[in-house]
Amino acid sequence: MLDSYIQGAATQLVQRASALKSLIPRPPRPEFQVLATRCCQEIDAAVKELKFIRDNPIQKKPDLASTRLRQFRRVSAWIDRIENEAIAAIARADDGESKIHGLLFKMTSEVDYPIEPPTISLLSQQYFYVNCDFGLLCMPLTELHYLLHLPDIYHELAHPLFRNEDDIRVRGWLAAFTNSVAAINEHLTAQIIEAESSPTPQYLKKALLLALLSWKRRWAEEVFCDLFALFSVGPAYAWSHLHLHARCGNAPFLMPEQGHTHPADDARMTALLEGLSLVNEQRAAAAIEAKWHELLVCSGQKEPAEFHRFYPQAIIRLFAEEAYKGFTAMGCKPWNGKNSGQIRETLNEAWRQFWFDPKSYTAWETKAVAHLL
Amino acid sequence: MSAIGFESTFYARLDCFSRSLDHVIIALKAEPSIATDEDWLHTTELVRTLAANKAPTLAASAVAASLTQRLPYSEGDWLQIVSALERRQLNQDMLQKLDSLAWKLDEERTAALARMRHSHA
Repeated sequence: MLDSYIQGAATQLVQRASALKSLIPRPPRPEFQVLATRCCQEIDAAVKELKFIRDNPIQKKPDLASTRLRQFRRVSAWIDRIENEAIAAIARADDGESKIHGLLFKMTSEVDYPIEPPTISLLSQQYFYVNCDFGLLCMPLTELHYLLHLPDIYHELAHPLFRNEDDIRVRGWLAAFTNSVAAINEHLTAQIIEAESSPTPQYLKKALLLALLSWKRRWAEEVFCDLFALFSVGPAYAWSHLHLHARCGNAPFLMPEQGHTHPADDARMTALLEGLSLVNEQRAAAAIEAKWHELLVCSGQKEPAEFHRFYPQAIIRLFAEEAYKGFTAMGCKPWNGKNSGQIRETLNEAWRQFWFDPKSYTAWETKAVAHLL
Repeated sequence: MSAIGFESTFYARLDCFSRSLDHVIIALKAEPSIATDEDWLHTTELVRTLAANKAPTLAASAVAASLTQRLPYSEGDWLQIVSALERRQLNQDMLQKLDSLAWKLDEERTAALARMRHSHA
């Protein structure tokens, strides 16, 4: 069965993959040329691999049916991703992308971003995200006309820094990250051992283990990305975090057993407040903290009794300190108040205007965006 | 905040370990030339991380953390496989365990893709 299936399905996929190239505009817009080249290379490699899976006599041995099926699935999924994630972005690009590319260039220049910036697209239907497989940062279609969430771009710029462990340009950042993961690992492992040897409720033991796995697997990276954004753009990023929480309302005290991709919003805010003191923004930190607590009260949220066990304050402080060391070790320029460059200053001024005169903010923003783009 | 930033790198890490492991299985079962030294190295690195809960790389650490508790084998089982991988000589039982690992990696890759597609703020 499998051989006949692979013969038919792989042949069709080869044809489909080859046809994808014809969807790339001729020529692609300048800001998408790197991505277009990458797509063509990936398509060629995928076609070669598909033919190997389909035709090589070794692959047809019954003993290797499992590996053959897995290999086919991987290539098949990858071709889908090239089509849906990368080619789709190239094919729909318009003048909006040119403007946002200009903005991204200024943003990365002001910070001295250490690696090649991603291609940016207005394709997103899921808020801001970066697709590290294609070096593609996506944002919602109209978001470039509004300033309050633009600081989130800096968070997305941090994810690709974790991509290549051998890249000398990010070595200091990854060393700081490794130190932080080791610290949370040590802390939670000690708690798990203690829980095992004392009359601790079963749910708590399980939650501690889930917290440890979540920190090691993904939360640590998300907190480091938050801190990269904070050191890049200062208070504007913490305001943006508050704004997103106010709009979307993720549970601020999410517990580990709820299995979320990101750590609890309140723990993330704690890390940001710690980070603000490292860039001499204690006053801004106090103002943001006060509004954050008002927001939590307003939405009826209270910290659960065991919350601090999964998000220990001392370790979160260490994350902020390590991330700052890593940020500067990469040669990046931290937020420095009014000497930080046009984009960073405008994004912070936007939040100052927002709170100073909420009613007339939109009119101010329209002018500021026109000036920026 | 979307999870795609994390998931896309995680997906690539799963893909890399998965690909190497399949090459190693083919090499052990049929054709040694299919697996490169890098494939052996990646596979040994992942299995060693499962055995010792200590990772030489961030990639192995993240992938192993996603597999922990999902495979019915002890750290001792993985430790035996590490030595066998270093000798490039695995018995049938060890090969079966590697095959289970390969399927778990495939399941996790599929799950990561689903999370990316249905990711939310």
